[in-house]
Amino acid sequence: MIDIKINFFGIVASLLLFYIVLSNKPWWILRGGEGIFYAAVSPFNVKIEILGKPVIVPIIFYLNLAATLSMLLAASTMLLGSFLVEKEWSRPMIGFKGLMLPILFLVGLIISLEFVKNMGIAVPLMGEFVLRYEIPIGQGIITETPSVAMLTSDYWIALLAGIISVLAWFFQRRS
Amino acid sequence: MNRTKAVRILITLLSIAAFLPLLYGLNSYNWDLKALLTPSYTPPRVDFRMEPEGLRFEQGKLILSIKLINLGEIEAKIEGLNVTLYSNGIAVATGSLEKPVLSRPNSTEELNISITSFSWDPIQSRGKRRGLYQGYGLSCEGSG
Repeated sequence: MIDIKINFFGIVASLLLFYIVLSNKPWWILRGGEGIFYAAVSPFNVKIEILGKPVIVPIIFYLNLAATLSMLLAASTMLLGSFLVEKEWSRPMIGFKGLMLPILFLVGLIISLEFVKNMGIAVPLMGEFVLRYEIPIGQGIITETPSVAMLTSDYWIALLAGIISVLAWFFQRRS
Repeated sequence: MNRTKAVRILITLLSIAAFLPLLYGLNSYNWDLKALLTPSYTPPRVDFRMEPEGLRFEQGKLILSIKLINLGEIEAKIEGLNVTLYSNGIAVATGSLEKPVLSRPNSTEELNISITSFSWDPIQSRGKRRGLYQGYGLSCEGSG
């Protein structure tokens, strides 16, 4: 009988990381009215539309690509390290990137919403609300759009992957 | 150098390399951070044309028909429209949209305005007399 020691937590965490990177699903969604505005945000893909037309910020593409490559590297090294538990030099392969990303994403999102709030547009992190905005035409046209914002299930899967990667790190250290 | 340290250095170098796309992007924009951070947005074209088609009687009501042409890129639903008809600068009738109309891009729809009230005020002007008439019906003017 062949006795192979593997890091089960590392395998599960790496497979979840591969899923969240390759599935390309948003972690946070903002929707206003029926096609008035829509935002689908994740570290790997950002899509913002107003009246069906895209809003493009050039740097976002490169940031998304960097996050994708970084997470693919973390998932790959974690998967490889999970099968090399008995090798001491495999320890650096299991890290905390999986947990850092959803935490940094949430912090970045909160900061961005505060920035937007200072511009007069109040958007909560989660929940239904009425977005009030004054269009600067003539004396001003006040618009009120029923909207909804929410963290998606993919965000919680990413957070779970991060927590399991911490367990994987502890397991790798103890083995 | 032991293997653990070598693996750590390799992973660190690969992690740094993962951010090379950011440097590539900066280089593509000639290191102009403002250009990279400035959002761009082209709003959809909004272009509606209205052409009156005429008056008609329908089911005991006077209907003003207007052709609505959507030459823009957005879909619009006209849920209500109130109109006032003028003659020689005097409001003579009011009306409202009979039912909501959905106008899709590159389409033509008909707006049916139901004329709901007529009113004239009696005036005397240079020997001409006009009659007072209120309610539904055709307007008529007599002079003498």
